[in-house]
Amino acid sequence: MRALRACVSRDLRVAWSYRLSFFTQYGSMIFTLLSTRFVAELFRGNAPTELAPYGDDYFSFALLGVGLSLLTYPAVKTFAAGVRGAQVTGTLEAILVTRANPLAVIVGMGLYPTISVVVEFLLLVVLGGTVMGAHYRLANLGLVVVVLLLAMAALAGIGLMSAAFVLAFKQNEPFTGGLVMLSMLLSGSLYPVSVLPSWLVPVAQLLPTTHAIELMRAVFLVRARLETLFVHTVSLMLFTLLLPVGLLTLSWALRYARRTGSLSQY
Amino acid sequence: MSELLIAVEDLHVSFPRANPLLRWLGRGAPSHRVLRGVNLCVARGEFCALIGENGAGKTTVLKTIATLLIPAAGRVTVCGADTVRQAARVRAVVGYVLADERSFHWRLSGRENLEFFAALNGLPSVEARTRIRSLLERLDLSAVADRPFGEYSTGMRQRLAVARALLTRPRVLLMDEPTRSVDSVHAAQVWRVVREEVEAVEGCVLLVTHQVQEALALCRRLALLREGRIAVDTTAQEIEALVAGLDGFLVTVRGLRARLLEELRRYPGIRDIRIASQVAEEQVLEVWTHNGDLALAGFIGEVTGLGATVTALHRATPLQGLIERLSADADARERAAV
Repeated sequence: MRALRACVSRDLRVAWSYRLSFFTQYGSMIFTLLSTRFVAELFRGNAPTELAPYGDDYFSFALLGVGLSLLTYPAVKTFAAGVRGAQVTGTLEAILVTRANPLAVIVGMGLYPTISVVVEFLLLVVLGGTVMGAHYRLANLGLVVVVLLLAMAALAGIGLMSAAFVLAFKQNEPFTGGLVMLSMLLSGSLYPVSVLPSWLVPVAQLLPTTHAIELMRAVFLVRARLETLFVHTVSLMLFTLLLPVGLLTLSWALRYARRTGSLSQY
Repeated sequence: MSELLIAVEDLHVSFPRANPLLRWLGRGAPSHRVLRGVNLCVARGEFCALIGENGAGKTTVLKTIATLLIPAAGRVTVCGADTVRQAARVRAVVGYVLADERSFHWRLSGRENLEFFAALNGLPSVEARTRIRSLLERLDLSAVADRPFGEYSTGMRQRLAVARALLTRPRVLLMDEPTRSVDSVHAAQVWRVVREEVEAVEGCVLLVTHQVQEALALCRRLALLREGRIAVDTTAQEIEALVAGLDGFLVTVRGLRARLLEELRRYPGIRDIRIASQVAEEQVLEVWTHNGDLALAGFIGEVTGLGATVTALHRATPLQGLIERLSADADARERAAV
């Protein structure tokens, strides 16, 4: 825990040292809010039937979807970026020779950016509701936290595998980029998964973001049926099994880099 | 016999040249064998210098002891703990001054950097603050402690690296050219602090250096690493006898172009000149003479004539000369044994 705290504190200090970037990082959120609002105007009073299970308000529907989709890329890339950054700045070996558990430190490298995107998502949702007129029927705030934790754990598993690839092969792997693109297209961020061609629906179900979005909409927009909640929660929980797989892969990659003498190479 | 803190037994380290896929297919170049059976022990209270030419594998030995490398064969133990199977126990007693002085976060201050590494090492925050303040003071970094690390000079960075390695009061201190770019006043300060710290915990130091004078002044033992093996492991007294008559100078110059070195090498009395270190425009030249017979004033005039300025000069034993003598000695012993 101490290692995780130290990494978060360090990254916060580094982020704070770039004052302009620290404050403007949330600027893009305004554009997301506005553009989603304008697109939603097209559907005002004329919502397609596919939106009915989500409560007919396209703005709220799309805002939650876009928010979680935008979270996918940083969540899966942050660990690899942390490792890469430590390799390039020459701090990786200095960090790995400390008493801290090497796996904990690498997880720690991705923690601050993960927290940062979650905060960004929550701000987006809050601003959408308070300033831009999104309609939420939020039943349980605890559930929001649970869904976010499950989603982040599932994505972190993939992210740790990506970091392992960087450690072992000194370059970014090509798979997570594809996963992010697929998530944007198929996870139902701007439209319900039900409008996809039937053969694409099973592919969408293989993406953790799909279940995270469905669950978040169930929590925020409608009084979801228990069955719906159950299916998506179990699916997302299954994806969280990627977390131990990611840790195992990372452990293997560390061992491989130590054996080949390539820890500090990039 | 004194407690062994570092024990390196028949250490082999190889680095693969081909990528993993080619190796899996059984293709690609064979591995590069860096260490080929290194045996080295360092006991409690000992300061041992590891010397050798560039690429001899000195840093590889340190990294293996520090658990950053896994050996291909052989065994390394630190305070009785195996560096592969008990890496966490090893890291708990090791402090490592990396050769790469960039290994800090440039946007953070020196103090913040040390706080981060203290936290990773599990030091309680109150204890960490006291320890950091003390080390910064003793290494003359207090005045710049709250400046961003990116603004530090190379010498300051190296002193901060020493402070980082000492944070946890390690029993085993591994130092990779820790004073390469540190001025002589601060270098003396660094060694005073290191000696105090190591004596306080009854620890040991394994030092990699290219500065023979420093090694002889600090260490009672010197080991020469050559062709992946320890060719010579001897005492400083024996080395001093061996280097008698092997004279040279360390000359700090500013603004000397590398291609003009050849002209200096032709100066009467000069046997060889090598660049020992370089920081920006400033170079430290290791000047190896024939029996110390060098007309210093004329030599300085020659350097000045080539458009450079001599900023410091002192007598020193040239590393290359020492290595050659030690190697010849080792070869002779080997032949005698056969």
